[in-house]
Amino acid sequence: MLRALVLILAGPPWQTPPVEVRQHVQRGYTLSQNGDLKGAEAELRQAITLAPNDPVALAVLGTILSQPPRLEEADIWLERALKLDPGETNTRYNLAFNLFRLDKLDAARTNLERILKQKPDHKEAKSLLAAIGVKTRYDAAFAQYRAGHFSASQALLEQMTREAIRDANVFRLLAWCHHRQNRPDEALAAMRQAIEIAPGDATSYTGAAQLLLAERNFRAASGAVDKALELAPGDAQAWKVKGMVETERGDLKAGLEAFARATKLDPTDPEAWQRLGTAQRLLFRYPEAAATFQQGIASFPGYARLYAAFAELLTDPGSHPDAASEARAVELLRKAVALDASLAAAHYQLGTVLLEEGKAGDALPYLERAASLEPGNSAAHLAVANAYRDLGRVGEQAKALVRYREIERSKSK
Amino acid sequence: MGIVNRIPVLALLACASLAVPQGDTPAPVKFRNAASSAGITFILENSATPEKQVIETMVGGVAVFDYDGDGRPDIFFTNGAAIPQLEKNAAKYSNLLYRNLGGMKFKDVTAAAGLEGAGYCHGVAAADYDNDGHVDLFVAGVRSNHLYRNLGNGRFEDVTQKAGIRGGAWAIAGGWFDYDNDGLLDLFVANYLKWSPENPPYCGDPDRKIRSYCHPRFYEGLPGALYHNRGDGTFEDVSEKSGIASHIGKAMSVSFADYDGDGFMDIFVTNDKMPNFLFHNLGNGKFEEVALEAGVALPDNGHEVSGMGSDFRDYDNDGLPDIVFAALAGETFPIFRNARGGFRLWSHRSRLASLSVRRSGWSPFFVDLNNDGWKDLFVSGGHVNDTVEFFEAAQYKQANSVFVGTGDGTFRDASAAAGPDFQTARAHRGAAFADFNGDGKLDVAVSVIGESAELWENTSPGDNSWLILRLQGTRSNRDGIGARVRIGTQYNHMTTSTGYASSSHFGVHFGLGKATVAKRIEIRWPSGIEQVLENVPVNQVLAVREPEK
Repeated sequence: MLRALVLILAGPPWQTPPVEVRQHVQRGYTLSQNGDLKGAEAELRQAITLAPNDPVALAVLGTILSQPPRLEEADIWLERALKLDPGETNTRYNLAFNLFRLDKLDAARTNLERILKQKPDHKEAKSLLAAIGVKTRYDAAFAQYRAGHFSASQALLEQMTREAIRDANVFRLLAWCHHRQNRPDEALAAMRQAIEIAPGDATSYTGAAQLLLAERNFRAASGAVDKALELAPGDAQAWKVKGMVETERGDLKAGLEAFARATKLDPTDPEAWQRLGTAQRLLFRYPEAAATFQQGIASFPGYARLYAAFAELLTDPGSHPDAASEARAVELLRKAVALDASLAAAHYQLGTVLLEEGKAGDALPYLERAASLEPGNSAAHLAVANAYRDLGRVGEQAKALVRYREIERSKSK
Repeated sequence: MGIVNRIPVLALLACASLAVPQGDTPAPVKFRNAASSAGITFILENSATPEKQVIETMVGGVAVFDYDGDGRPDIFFTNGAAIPQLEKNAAKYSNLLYRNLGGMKFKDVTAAAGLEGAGYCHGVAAADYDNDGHVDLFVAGVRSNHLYRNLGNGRFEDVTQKAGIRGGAWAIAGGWFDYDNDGLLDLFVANYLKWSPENPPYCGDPDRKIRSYCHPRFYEGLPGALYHNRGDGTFEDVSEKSGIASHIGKAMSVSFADYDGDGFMDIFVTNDKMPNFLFHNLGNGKFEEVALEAGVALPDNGHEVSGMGSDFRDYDNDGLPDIVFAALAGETFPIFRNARGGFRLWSHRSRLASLSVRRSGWSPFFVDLNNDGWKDLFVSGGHVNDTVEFFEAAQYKQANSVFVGTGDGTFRDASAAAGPDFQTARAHRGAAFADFNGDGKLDVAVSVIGESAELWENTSPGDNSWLILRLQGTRSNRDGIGARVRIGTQYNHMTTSTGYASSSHFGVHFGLGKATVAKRIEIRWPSGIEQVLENVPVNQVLAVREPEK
């Protein structure tokens, strides 16, 4: 941001404003250089009060405000400055940069193209325009990924890598594409590329930890997430993944501590709350777990996994479930399924609770849904088999058990 | 009362049921640790290493059997050995045989019996495999198993080689049963993991320098072995042709019962963190593994459990053998109720899930400890991992547990009321049961890593009646293993394979509440012969000989 300020102040001469205005602008600039952005803002607002159409004062204020929470506000000042002085390329670049940060890529591109028309050699504009190109294509790939079209997403990303685009985000997403297509080695290789490109970016280490965790390589996962936390000790996502790694490798106490850190660092992540409550349950801290889930559900009423996790607590043998708690669990699970019909775990849990209650007929559709949502989940197929067994449908039980055995055999390979 | 041996008059009579008390308030169960006063000083030496060799924590088989035929149950403890040599190169590693002198006093007779043993031992199985009236021992261990033939003169002979029993693998347990009903006991050997002392994997938290015993996933599993008794002192390895060898597991225990009533004993094997096995005996020398179909491979949630010791016995008196096994904290001790044509997970409905979820156990036994006519559940307590407290809300050393049967298929935790001694947390392992002092209340011997073994004298109040049937097969195997016994509405069967790596050879026990006489006792021998006894006085050890036809 300070680089951009220098560019503006060193820019072409403008219509001379009153001395008092110049003094405010100068003081604002000095204060911003010293890191006092509040003081700088006050000086510039005074300058604009005295000279509302002074493009420099407007541009400098816009630039000073160009911090993430105030980007939109900053753009208002920058656009006003550009209305008064449309040829001021540095101000336009700052506006384009803000628009890029706000993910308004088309508007950013228009501004950059305008700069390059004026100054075809404007290096920053060229570079940002290229980045927008990458970002646009990345966004397209990400949209495919979000839609579950992993191979399409992969194809877009690989096209980018073939063009020698070395962007950590691209390789990270490529890693997840491979992961979702059950190609662990390729996934890890792509994540390693992301680390190589941006070794200081904790996100790639956290991603690597998640991939290694999925492969049950706990030691390597632990090393990766510890590296992420070394780079970014305040990264809530890394703490959450740390909790997952510790829990999976059997250190429930360390897992609990990590999830607690994650929720403190980012109380807006519902998954962290769900995992914290589950860790408390696994450590037999039932009242604490109940409080966590209740708080989580109150804060994130649309997050289905919290309902499912709370239901699991209510049916946990250690919480001494009774008819009332089981009924409440069923209610929570029905809610979870209603909120997220693709949540296999909720279907599975609901099915197993109903099965335990001797309601195999009611349980079966939920269990079958769980098995179809997660075809590689052997437990779901086993539960389907158990439901058929209880219903006396031996042939279908046998079929479900064949599937169970196939999955287990492939896992052991 | 004293131990009585007598051959009853046999008669085939019409069915009459014995009233069995049931109610909401089960009679209490009390124990006193009588080890010290009884002269039991055995310490289980596992030769703990900084490398946390996984064999160290799996030790502790106990057998109870009457080695000298004096009518009093004696106690045998298996022991560890030096690591990595796997040799009993010091006296502290000796297996130990205690002779029951009566009056709850025991004497170490190991040397005289020649049972010091060799190698790193785990399980033990007692039975009279050669039908000579003297109970023999199979001792399972790391790379070497041993078969000790009881010579009947107070001494045992190691007949492993000439009997054709193999070693080489790591066997945790063994069990005797007559799978083909030829009157000769066959041997099932439960093998655990492929293990070598070289380069053990590092498990735990290297940053905090907390090394732990590794999860079984770090090791490959092994198939079990089945030996067919030829009747001439030798055995044929029928593991392959019976179908047993084609199932790779991580076996921690084996128990036997005829779950489908077809007259052939079936095999239940717990596996550690993988699905259990239920080998259905097809009656033609072959077995079919049906645990998944029968519903006993895994709990209904599909989660793999650390299956430890097991018992395969009818606990709810419906005539169908049920299954219980111990597991670790958080997993609960699963009960599978035999629902004829399949099993149903009954942990929740029996309340055992809630009662056991925070406990870790090794050696379970469905046994009527208060003689009220309903089987209770004893489980020796302790976690497998001595560093568990760093990572989980579980304890390594735990007290044993007693869950009393209420008569409606549910249990209550009676551990806290079982006496002050009983609350002591230790690293318990194997457990074996018998009435050591002849009072009709079953007592328990439990091995403990690094500490004196426990001898739990059952001091439960009350004067409930009881019967112990000591069976003598003629056409069937001499121990009557596999014989199914019904007294009134109660069922049990003769087996010595109970718990973890342990063996209880004392007969078939029944608690009979306030009954003064067992009006009708029905025995179905493995030979198929059915025998009925009527109006049998209670409170005795009743020797029952199988009729010729």
